[in-house]
Amino acid sequence: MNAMEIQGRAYPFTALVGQERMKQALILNGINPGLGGVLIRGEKGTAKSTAVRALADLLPARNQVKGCLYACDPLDMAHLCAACRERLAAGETLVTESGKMRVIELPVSATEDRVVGTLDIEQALKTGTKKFEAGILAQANRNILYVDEVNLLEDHLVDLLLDAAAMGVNTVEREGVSFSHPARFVLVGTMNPEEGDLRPQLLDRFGLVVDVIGERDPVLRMEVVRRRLEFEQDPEAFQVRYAPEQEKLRRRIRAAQEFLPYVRWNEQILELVARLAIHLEVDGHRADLSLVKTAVTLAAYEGRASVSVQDVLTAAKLALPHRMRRRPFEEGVLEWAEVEKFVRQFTEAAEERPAQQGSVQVSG
Amino acid sequence: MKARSPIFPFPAVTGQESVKKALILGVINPAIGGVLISGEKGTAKSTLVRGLAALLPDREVVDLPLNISADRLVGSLDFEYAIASGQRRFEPGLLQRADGQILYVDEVNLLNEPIANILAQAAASGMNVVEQEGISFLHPTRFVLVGTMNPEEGALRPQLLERFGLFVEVDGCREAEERKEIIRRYLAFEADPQACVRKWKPSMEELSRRVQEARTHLVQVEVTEDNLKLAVDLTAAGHCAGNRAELVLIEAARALAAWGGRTLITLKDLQEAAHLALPHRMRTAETGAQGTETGAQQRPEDHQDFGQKKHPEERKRAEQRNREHRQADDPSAGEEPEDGVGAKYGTKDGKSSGEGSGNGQRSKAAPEDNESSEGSLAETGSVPSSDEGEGGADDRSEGSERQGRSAVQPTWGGTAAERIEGAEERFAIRFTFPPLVRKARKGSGKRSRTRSQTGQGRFVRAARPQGKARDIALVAILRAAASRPQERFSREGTGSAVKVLPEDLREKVREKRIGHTILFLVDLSGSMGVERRIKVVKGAIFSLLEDAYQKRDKVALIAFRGNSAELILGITRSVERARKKLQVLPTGGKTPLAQGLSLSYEFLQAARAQDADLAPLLVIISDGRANVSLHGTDPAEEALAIAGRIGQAGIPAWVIDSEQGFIRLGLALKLARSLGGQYSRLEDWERMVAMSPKA
Ligand SMILES: [Zn+2]
Repeated sequence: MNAMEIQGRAYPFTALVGQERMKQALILNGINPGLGGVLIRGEKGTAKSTAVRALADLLPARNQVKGCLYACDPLDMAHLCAACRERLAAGETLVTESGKMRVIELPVSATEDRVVGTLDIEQALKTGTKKFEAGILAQANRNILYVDEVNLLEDHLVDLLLDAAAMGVNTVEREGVSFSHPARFVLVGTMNPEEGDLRPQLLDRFGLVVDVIGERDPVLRMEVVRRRLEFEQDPEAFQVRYAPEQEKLRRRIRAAQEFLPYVRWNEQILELVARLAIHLEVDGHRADLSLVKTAVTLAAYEGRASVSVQDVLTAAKLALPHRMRRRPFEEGVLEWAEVEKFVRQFTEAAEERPAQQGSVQVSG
Repeated sequence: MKARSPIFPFPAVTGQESVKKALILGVINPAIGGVLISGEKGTAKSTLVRGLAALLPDREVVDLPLNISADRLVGSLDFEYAIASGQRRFEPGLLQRADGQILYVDEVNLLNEPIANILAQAAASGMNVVEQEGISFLHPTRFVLVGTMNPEEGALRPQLLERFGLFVEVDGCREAEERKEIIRRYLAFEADPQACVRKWKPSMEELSRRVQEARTHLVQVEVTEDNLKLAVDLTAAGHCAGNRAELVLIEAARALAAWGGRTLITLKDLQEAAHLALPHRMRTAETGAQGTETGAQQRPEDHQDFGQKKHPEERKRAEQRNREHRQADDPSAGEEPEDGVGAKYGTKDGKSSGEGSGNGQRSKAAPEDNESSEGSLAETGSVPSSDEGEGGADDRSEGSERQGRSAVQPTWGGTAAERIEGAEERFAIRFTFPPLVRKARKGSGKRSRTRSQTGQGRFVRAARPQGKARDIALVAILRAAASRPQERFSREGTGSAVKVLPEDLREKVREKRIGHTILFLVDLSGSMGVERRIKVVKGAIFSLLEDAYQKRDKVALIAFRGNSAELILGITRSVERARKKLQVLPTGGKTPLAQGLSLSYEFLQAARAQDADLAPLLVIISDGRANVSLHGTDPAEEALAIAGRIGQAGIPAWVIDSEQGFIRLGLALKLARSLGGQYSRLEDWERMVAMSPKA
């Protein structure tokens, strides 16, 4: 299926050439799944799907409830599935195992049944009893939900995604089935803007957006091809070659995950974010939250204990481009120079004010 | 079974006071009929609704997911039980669970029609009646209906809209301190939901206690004759349809009095109630044309001063506008346009002018509209018309309501008027597809074709198959089979739990929003005149493009000027691209109308050859002039001949006449007749734009 995954071996994330912004956005989501995913816009053949799979392979293992279909986090009581909840209530202890984040694909042609889950037909026919057969959204819980060409997704499927993304829960009330389960996922979508727009609401659900273009530099292009050939020839040897780098990045991500809850920000950062959002006239409040969370995650990744103005600026590049729209099809162009100017003026003015210190704890 | 996530505390939501108030009133007095919250994305709409339940010890929020199927909504035969015991039993649906609770529909404007109808009916009658597969069942379902919607995605169906007692708009906050507080509270909640809930517990309890008190206090609130009289006056001033408005107004005012611990309703209660109960019931009586709607949502203060308006300046402008509208609508007060916007040029009955377009169209359009998925007439048909017997101008205004969108298009409007200001080529009043054009689009019979054959689309209900069943509805089959006595059927050896007979066969009825393929043929020649004119033309098209987006149409664009016509943009789902292309197109030169029509014809025919399901619509924006010959004959004749061919090919067309000035040639009208299509005048829309306060 995937040219970049051979004999079950994923292409090493660290072997990806260029596309720094995309890689950064993916890593940030790997560190903090609460960022709301990433939308990758650009032409075909820019290794988008390879990068997503490579990320899943790269990410450190996490704890999950053994035998749970939804890979519940045993420590996150608030988001346990009904079965785990019942087991706890019955006095059982949830056995923890270590598992990897997976990439669950939502094909554009998927049927509604397949996405939300449905009645187990075989069981119903054979025994006349009802059993819920989980769908893609169930598998996606605590994983990456990957939608290639997300802008071509049918309208009613977009509605489903919106519902689930909004509540973190998939509620099924269809054909004799009444069921709900947690569906908290990192939404990763790709799209070629030439082929159609994305519904503004779904667009807003993506925490970050990156625009990718094919590598233009001939030297780098050659390098892309060279590595791919090497990987195809001997995936195992290729992986071994990149193992040290992979391990290094993996350790850095794990450290950032652990550090994330301790990153702080001061009043000035908050002020900057709020004023920037007002200045740019973004819709709603998701942009502000996204900005702060991304900046915090960036600081964690850099191993810094507090968020800097530079973090906000970097976060703005990822979290704002798609939130500038005022209404459908009135493209809000992110004037980068404008943002930079605003931030510069803000910091200059702030230096003249006495710094207010205050901090709040945050985590994804 | 419900997975329960921690809920953001209701009082912790910063600002949004009117939404909070409306929700609280809604639960204090269920007779109000619930609350509709409309606003841009990311404004804590659903957070507040969920928080509401936590406030009430005896109420839960029952979610109605968009993809609910009819059987789960109304309930059905419990096939599991039937197979196991041979007995028929009713398996309750969501309407039973919602009885006495809060029924919540997120993105309520995206609900499909069959489900919306069931919901509207249940909300209206307070009863759920199920009659199917040998069981009949009836139970009360009295719920507080709460809906949230983002108006970017389209208007709410009128029959559902009127069911909502109160209507509130939300907007993001533009104040730095408040924004900061919002960030703080949300991130604190995300970091530790339980701690956050603990922190807000005292405020929750206090609020909860107050709501409880108000609920018990409600019965003691008296309604005086004066109250009733004022309520009637207020609704009359707001031109509200039906008499539900007064009722809701009174109930909301009662709730307000109870909330304030009073037993008497004050003037202020009624005024405040009016702000919540009336906005979505206002008829846009001043907007004298079909196919248009005011960008600015009509608010009570447009008609009467409720004493809460911030800017006297704004009020003055609104009054001014009303005066002008009234003048424009009064045939004796000025020049009456000979054709209403969107008037139909009937090729069959020969009716050709604006007179009679109102009533005549209404009766003609009705049967078809009943069938439609986005139908408006059938739905608004239930809205009682209170202004029976008024003049022709008013008939046309009803048309805009019948279209099903005039009532609520809130966030474009009101505050939106300000937003539009900065944007180039944006106008306070939107230009949308008139109902008759939509009717033409429906006439293509798309819906029935798409619904049974593909496995795509949203499953709505099961039905007996017409012809060979392709998309099997298993559960419905099991129910049908299980509803028959099964005693003699032995499970052993058959591998099946129930004996299925051919008559048990059911298939899935799916619904899919099918867009149409709209080709815009735009005249950019010199005859279109000055820059200002082109700006209006482009503004109208941008407006239509927005409408097209909401209907999930595809668009294509052909322009003509100089000596030729050119395909500017092939069929695309990206309305944005059409907009961009149009923005930069040069104008001026001669007018090769025949070339434009000819290219359009070939283009649409080729597209139809490729895709049999394509539902084309040709929109022509031109003054109808033609001065470049295609075959060396008279250019005007050539254009009309091709138009005739387009009409014969069954391509629905709509001509938007851009002619203006003292000397009228009426060429676009001729063109519309040759096409057998609809005709509108850009000027009519322009005049309304000019009259709107933000023009
Ligand atoms: Zn679980």
